[in-house]
Amino acid sequence: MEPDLYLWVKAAHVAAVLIFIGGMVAVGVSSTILPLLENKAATASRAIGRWNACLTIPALAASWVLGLILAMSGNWFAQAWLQAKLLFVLLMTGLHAIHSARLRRIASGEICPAWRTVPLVAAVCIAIAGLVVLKPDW
Amino acid sequence: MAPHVPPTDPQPGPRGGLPLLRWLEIAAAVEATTLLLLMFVAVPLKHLFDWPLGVRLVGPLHGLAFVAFCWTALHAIVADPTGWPRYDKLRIFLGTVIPLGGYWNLRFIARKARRTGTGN
Repeated sequence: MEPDLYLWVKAAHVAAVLIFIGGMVAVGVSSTILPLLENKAATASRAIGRWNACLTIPALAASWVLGLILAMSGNWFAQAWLQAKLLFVLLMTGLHAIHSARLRRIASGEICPAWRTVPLVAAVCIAIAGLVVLKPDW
Repeated sequence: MAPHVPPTDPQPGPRGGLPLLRWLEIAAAVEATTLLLLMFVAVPLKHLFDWPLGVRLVGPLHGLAFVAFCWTALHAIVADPTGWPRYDKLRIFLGTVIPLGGYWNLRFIARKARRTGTGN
């Protein structure tokens, strides 16, 4: 890949990841707060659900597509740091699917118990940042 | 004759979009088809005719389709307030790793949609 194009793809990937993480933190905080709102929970979760559908899910898809393009361009798939990062990314993707489903259930009027995942999201972000920047040679 | 009343959708999409099981069906079809293309077209082209471009293109496409299917499946399972039986959860993910298993999943999802009244 041309060096200029690589930098643009990398910038777009970082932007998509930042938007996705913002959305993940928002749905994570919602999962903790919404069950406390009782009668307002369904309305609030519908509003957060719209944000999730319009911004966070497209950002997640863009992060995957652009991330794969970057990994292919650098031939990094065989490297341990990328494999470890992929595991963390899969964890975040799965967590997002569960959060989105819980939002949908709360929006339909169901009472779901509070679920605290923001510390896990923060820990995964720190691990991913460390792996990507340091690219440890295991 | 009584007028036809469409079944109500227990899991409608946001603002009346596609129901979750319909999304899952689409994701399963794409996942199964990309796996078939990879196994029976791209890989033979690479090894028999020394043409690796097919694998380089279809491989990541299948990877994306696989992740999208897993996201949609997990979402559909957790969003269903009636809960999926353990066997159903297991088979939907097992189907993605078996060749042609995606098509097996398609039939299963269509049956489930009929049972739950999603009206596919």
